Amino acid sequence: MYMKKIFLFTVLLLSFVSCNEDDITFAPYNAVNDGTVLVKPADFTNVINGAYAYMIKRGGADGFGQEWLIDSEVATDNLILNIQGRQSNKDGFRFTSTPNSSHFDFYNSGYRAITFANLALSRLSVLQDGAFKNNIEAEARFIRALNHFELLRNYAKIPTQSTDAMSSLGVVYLEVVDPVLKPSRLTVQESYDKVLADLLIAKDKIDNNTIANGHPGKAAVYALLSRVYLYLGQWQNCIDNANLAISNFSGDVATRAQFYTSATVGLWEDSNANGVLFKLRVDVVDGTTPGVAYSQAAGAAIRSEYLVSYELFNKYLSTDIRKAAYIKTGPFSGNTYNNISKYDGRGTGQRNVVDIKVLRLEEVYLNKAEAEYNLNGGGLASLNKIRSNRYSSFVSPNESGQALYDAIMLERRLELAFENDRFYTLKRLALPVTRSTTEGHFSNGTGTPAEFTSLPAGDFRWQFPIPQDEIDINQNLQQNPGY
Amino acid sequence: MRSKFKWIFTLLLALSMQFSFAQEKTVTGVVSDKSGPLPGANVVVKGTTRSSQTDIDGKFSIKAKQGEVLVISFVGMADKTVTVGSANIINVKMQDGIDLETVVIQTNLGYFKKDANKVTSAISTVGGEEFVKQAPSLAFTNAIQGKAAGVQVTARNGMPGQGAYLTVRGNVSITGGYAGAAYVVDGAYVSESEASAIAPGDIETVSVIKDAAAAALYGARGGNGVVVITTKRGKAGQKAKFTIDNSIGYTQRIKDPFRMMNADEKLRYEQELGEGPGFTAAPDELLVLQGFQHDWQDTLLRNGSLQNFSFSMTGGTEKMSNFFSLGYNKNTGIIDGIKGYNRITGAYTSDYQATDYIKIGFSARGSYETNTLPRDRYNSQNPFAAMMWYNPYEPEFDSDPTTGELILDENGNPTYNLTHTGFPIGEALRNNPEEERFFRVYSRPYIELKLYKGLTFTSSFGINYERRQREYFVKPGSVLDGYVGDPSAPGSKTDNGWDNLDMQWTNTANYKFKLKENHNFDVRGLYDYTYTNFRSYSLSRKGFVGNYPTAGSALTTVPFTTRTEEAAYAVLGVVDYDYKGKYLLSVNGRQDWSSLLGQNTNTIFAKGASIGWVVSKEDFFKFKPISFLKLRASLGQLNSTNGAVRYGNLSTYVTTNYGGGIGTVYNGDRIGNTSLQFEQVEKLDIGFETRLFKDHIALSASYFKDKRNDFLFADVTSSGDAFNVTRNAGDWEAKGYEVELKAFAIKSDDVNLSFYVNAAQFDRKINKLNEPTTEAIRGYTINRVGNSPDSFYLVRYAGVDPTNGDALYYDINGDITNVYSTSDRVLLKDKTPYAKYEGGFGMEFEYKGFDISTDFVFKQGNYIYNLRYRDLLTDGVSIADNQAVAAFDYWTPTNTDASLPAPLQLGGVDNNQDSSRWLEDGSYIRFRNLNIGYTFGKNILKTLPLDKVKIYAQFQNLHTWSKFNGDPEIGIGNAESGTVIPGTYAGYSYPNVKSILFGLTINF
Repeated sequence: MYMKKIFLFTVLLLSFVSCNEDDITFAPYNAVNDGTVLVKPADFTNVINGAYAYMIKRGGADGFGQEWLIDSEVATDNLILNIQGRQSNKDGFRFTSTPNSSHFDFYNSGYRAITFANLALSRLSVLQDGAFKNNIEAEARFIRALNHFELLRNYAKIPTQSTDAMSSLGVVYLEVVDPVLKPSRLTVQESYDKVLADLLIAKDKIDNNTIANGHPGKAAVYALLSRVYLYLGQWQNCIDNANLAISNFSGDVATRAQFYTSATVGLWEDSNANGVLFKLRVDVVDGTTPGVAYSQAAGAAIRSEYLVSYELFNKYLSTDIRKAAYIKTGPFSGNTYNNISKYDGRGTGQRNVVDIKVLRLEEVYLNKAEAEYNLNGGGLASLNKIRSNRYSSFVSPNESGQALYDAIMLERRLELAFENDRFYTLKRLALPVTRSTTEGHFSNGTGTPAEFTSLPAGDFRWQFPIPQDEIDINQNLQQNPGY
Repeated sequence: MRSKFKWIFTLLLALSMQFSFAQEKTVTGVVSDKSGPLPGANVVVKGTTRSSQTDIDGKFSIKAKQGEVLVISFVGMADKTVTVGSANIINVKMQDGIDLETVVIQTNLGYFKKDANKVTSAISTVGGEEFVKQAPSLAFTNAIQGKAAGVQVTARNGMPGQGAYLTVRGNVSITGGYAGAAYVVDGAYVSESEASAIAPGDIETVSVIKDAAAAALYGARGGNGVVVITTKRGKAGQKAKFTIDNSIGYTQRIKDPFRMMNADEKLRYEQELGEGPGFTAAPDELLVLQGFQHDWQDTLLRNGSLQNFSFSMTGGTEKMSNFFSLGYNKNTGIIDGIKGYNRITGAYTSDYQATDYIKIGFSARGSYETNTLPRDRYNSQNPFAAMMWYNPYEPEFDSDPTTGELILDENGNPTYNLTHTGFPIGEALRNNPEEERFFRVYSRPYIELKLYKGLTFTSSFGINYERRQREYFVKPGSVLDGYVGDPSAPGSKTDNGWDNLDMQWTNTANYKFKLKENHNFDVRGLYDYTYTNFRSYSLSRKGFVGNYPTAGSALTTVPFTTRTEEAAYAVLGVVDYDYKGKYLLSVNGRQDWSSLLGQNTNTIFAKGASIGWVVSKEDFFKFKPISFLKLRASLGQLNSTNGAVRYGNLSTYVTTNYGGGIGTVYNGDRIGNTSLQFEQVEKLDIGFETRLFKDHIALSASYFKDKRNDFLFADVTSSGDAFNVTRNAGDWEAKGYEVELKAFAIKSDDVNLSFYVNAAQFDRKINKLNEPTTEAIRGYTINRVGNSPDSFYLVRYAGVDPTNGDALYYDINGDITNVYSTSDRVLLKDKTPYAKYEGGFGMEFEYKGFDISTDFVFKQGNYIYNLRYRDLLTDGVSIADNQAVAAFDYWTPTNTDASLPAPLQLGGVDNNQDSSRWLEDGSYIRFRNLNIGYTFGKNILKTLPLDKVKIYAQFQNLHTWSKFNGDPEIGIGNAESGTVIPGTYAGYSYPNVKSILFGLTINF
C-alpha cells in the first residue's frame, strides 16, 4: 500500500521535471528590446527625445543639464571662486585640470546623445519617405553636429585660433552604433567638414518644431551654422546663415521687459522664450537641477560656487537690464556676494530648475556683427539690435573702427556671460585669460583674489585634457599635447 | 514509554540468555553528554549485529564478550568506542564540539551529508560555537575570517549589521564588483544578505566548499565556491532543552594612527600658507576662533551600545524533532544622533518521520531589521568625512560674534554652523533621517521517500522572500531642503525599495548499494530549477507641513517601478564509489542552463572527478603515530554566471520624459551581448588530511589551481559613450596553497589546551584577454596579460626635489621628472588590492568550567590606495579642510629635506597628484577576539532547575598591527561612489569598531 502511494507520488513529482527554453527565456518588463524599439513613427520621435534626455540628464552631471553651463566659464575672467563654496570645478578655475582630474568631462553626455542620433539614423529606412522622415533625419543630424561641435571647441583647437589649428587633432566623429569601435581622432578640418555636412542636410530637411518642447526649428540650424562659420572665420557664410536664422524665426530679440521684469517674470525665469531658437527643456520631474552648477540656496541666502568677477560686475551699467537679470547681490554667512542668478530657477517651484538656452537670436546678431566687422568694418546695426533692447533710453554712439569692434566684443561678453561663450571667444581670437590679481570674491571687490590669474594665448591648456578614462578604454584616442 | 518497555524487554531477554552463552556477559551503563543522560543513543558491538538503544534515563544494556568493542553513537556527536573489560558497568560520556573526531565527522554538502573520511574534496568546516563567540559581528560572514584556509574575508565596513566580503581560493571579480561565494542554507540557495540575517546561535556548522567535485552540485552558482550553512535541528527522542542568552556591551571607533590638527595648529598652518582665516583674521578674531577649539570626532561620534538576546529550544519525540529560536539584536552604532540597527529573528525547524518510508519536514526562518543610516558619500554629507574635514576652530553651533551667546531658532534650539563646507552634518543626521528596513523569510519544506532498499527520493522546495524598504525624509526647513528643495513645496520624502522572491526546487534520487561486500556505491541524480522575481519601486513627494512625513503635496520625480526575472536549471549525476572505505572515487557531470546568457549560448556541460586514498586503512600501514591519513585529488569544471546581469543578453530600452513627451533610452545604460556565454572554471585540487599522535594534531593541506576561461567582464563601450556591456573577456587563473592545523597541547577530561593555524597563499595571473579590450584600465588599476588582475597602475612618486620643493616622479623610462603626466603610469608588479597571504591563528584553553580563547587574523601583501589620507595631506590644495598634523612637514628653502613637497600656495605647483605616493601596504595582524567564560555546571547548580549557566566576556578588535595610515581592514571605500574592487581605496565608509560584550547563557 505504501509502496503504491509512494510510486504515484514520485511519478507526480517527476512529471514536473521537464524544462524547456521557455522556462529560462524572459522578455524584460518595463522595457522594449532591440527588435521593437524603432518600428512605428512615434518610436523615432521617442529615440530623438532620448538623445535630448542624454544631453540633460542621462549622460551624467557633466552634460548640458548642469556642468556644461559652467565648465568652460570657470576658466575665464568672468568668474571668481567662492572660497566659501563647495570648491567644485576648482581645477578648471586654477587651470590645473589634468586627464585624471579633468573638471570638464563632456564625453558621456555628448557621445551618448550622438549614439542615439545614430540609432535613429541607422533605422531610417523603416519610415516612409516624407516630411516626418525628413524631420527625424534632420533632428538626428542636428544633435550629432551640435554635440560633436561642443566636443570640438572644448578638446580641439578652433580654426581661427592659430595657423596650425586646421591640421591639429580634432575629435572622433561617431556615425555608427558600434559599442566596441575604437575610433581615432580626425583633424580639426575633417571634423568641421563633418559638422557642416550634417547641418547642411539638417537645414533643408528640418520642420519648424516646437521650441517650447525642446526641439530645434529651421532657425536653430541656421543659428548653429552661423556660429560654426564664425569659428571657421568664414564671415560671409556666417552672415548669410545669421540672416537665414533671423528670417526663419517667428519672434525677435527679447525686449528689456521680456528679458527681465521680476524674480518670476523674464526670459531667464522661463516666463517667456523670446529670442530662444533652441533650448533643452528641463522639468522638475527630470530630476536635474542645472543651476546647482552655480549656486544653491541656504535659506534666504545664496551659496555660490563661483561669483561674478569684480571686473565684469563693473562692466554692467546700472541702465543695463542684464545687471538685474544675471546678478543677485546678497549675503551668505556674514559676507556679501555678487551671485549669478541666470540659472537659479523660475522663481516658483523648485530652485535651480530652468531650461537650458542653447541657441539665442542675440548670439546670432552678435555673430553677424562680428562677421560684418571683419568683412567690411560694419556691424553697428546688428550690435544696436542688442544694445537697444538692453539699455534703458539707448542712444547709439555710432562707433566705427576699433571702437566698434571693442563694443561688439564687450556686448558679446555682457550678453553671453555665463552661457559658455567667453572661453571660446578668447580661445578663437587667440587672446589670453587675464584676471585681476587684487580684486577678491566679495561684492565690493575685497576678499580672496584668484590664485592663478593668467592663461596665455597659445598655452596647451586651452584644449582641455581628454578624460583619462576615455583614453583608457580606447587606446586609439590621442591625448592633447601638453598633458 | 515504548523505549522503556523495549529496555525492560531487552533486559529480560538478556537475562534469559545468560546461561546459554557463558563467555558473554551483560554490560550495562549510562550514556550521557554534558547536560545529562542521553536517551536514544545507539550502542553496537563492533563487527556484530548486536545493538541496543539507551532509554529515557540514558541507560543501556547489551551482551558483549570481554575484548569486544562497543560503539556508542548519537546524531551530531562523536562516536565513542569502549573496549569491554572485566567490569560489567560501562558509563560513557559523549561530547559534541571540541573533539577532533567530531570536527570532521559529518560533512554537510548542503543537499546531503557525507562521511567526512570518505570526502575527496577540499572543504573547510567551522563549528557553530565560533559564530556565537563573535556575536558582536551579527553577520556570520565576518566570523569565518581566519577560520577556514583559502577563504578570504574582509569586513565591508563597520556599519552595524554589515556583512563581509567572502571569496574562495583567490577568486576575484575582474569586473570590478566582487566574486562572492554562493550561500546555501538548509539545502537551498540564499543571497548573501539573506544568509547574513541568520542568528549566530542557530548555526550548527558552516562548511566552505572550495574545489570542483563538491561544488559541482551547485553548478552555475558554485563557480565561486559555496558556503553551506547547516542550521540546528532538534534531536529525535530528546527531551526539550532550552537556552537563553543575554548580553550587553559597547563599541568604539578604532582610532587612526595619526593625529589631526587642533585649532591652534590649523590656524598656524593657514597663516604659514597665506590662505584662509588663519591668514586673514584679525588678532582678536583669531582668539575667538581658537576659543572654538574642539575635536569634531568627539562631537559627531559616540560609543555605540550593543544588546543581544536569544532564546532557543531543541527537543523531540521519537518521530518528530523540533528546533525553535527567537532573537533580538541592537547595535546603535557610533554616530551620535541616529538610532542605528535593530534586528528580530525567529526560526522553527521540524522533522517528522511520518511512516517508515516517508519523512517530511521544513524549516522556516525570518528576520526583520531596521537601520537608520548615514550617507556614505565622498562629501560632508557623510559624517565620517565631515569629522575629518571640518576645522577644529569651527563651532558646531552658531553664536553671536559679539556676545558669544548661541543663536537660537524660532523653537529655541541652537542653529547649526554651516561650516566651511556649507553643510552641517550634525543637523542633517537629525533633520534628514534615512531608514532602511529589511524583512526576510525563508522556508524549506521537503519530503524524503525510501523507495527501496538503499533508494531514496528527496524533493525539496526552497522559498526566500526578501523585502527592503527605505525612507528618506528631508524635513522642510532643513539645510539640505534649502539647497535642493522647493521653497513653495518644502521638504521632500522618498520611499523606495524592492522585494525579491527566490524559488528553488530540487529533486534528488539517491541509490546506495554494495557489491560483493566491499564495493560501496552511492549514485545520485539531481534536478534543480531556480527562479527569481525582483520588483522595485520608487516614490518621491515634496510639500510637507512641519516635521512630519505626512503626504506631500506634489511630485518631485516620476514614480517608477521595475521588475526583473531570472531562472536557471541544471541536471546533475554523481557516482561515488569506495572500496572498503579505502579507495575513493567520485565522478560527476552536469548540464546547466541560464536565462542570463545569449539565446544560442545559454547551456553548457561540465564534468569532474575526484579520487582519494585512505592510506591509514591499508593493512601495510602500521605507523602508529598517524591514526588517519588520506590523500586526495580532484579536477573538475564548474559553470558560472557570476557577473552576468539580467537581460544583459539583450539591448533593452526604457522610457524617460523629455520636453513633455516620451524619450527612449538604454535600460541601465547597457548594451546587450547576444552571444554571452558561461564562464567555465577548471579547478584542480591536490591535498591530504591527517591526524597524528592519538588525534592530538589534525593537519590538512591543499594545492589548488583554478582556471577561469571566458570570464565574465562588465566592459564599457569604447566609442566614447561609456555604456556598459558584459563580455566573455578572457582567461585567468588563481593558484596557491592552504593549510589547516589544529594541535592539542593538553587534552584531558578537565583541561584542554589547543592551538590552531589556518593560512593560505594566493597567486593570480591573467592568461588571455579577448579583443577588443586587450588591456583594461579601471581607475587606479589595470588588467594586463601575464600579471595579476587589478594590478595598480600609477605614476611612480620619487619624493621631493630638495632644490625647489617640487614633487618628483619617475617617467615611463624610469628617469626622474618634476612634470606630472598620466602617460607615465606603469603597472606596479605584484601590487594589487588582493592579499597574497591570509589566515588566522589562535588558542583555546579550558580548565574545568573556565575557558579562554583568542583569535588573530592576518593579511599580507595587499595594497590600498589611501585617498582618505591624501585628503589630509593635500599640499595646500584643500587648505579649506582640516589636515593631519603631518602636513606641517612641507618643503621650504629652510626645510629642504621635508617629507612633503611645497604647498600650492608657496610653490605655485599642484604637487598633489595621483601617484604611488598614496599607495600603501595594507598588511595587518588583528587581535580579533578574546573570549573569557566560566560555566557553572550541574554540580554547582544543584538546587536550581538549571543544567548550566555560563558567564562570559567577549572583546573584539582589541589591537591591530599595521603600517597603514588608517584602519587597514577596508572593503567599501565609499558605498555611494560606485562599484570598485573591494579594498582598492580607502575612503570614508563606516569605520570598523572595537567592542566589548558581557553576557550570560542559561541552559535548562
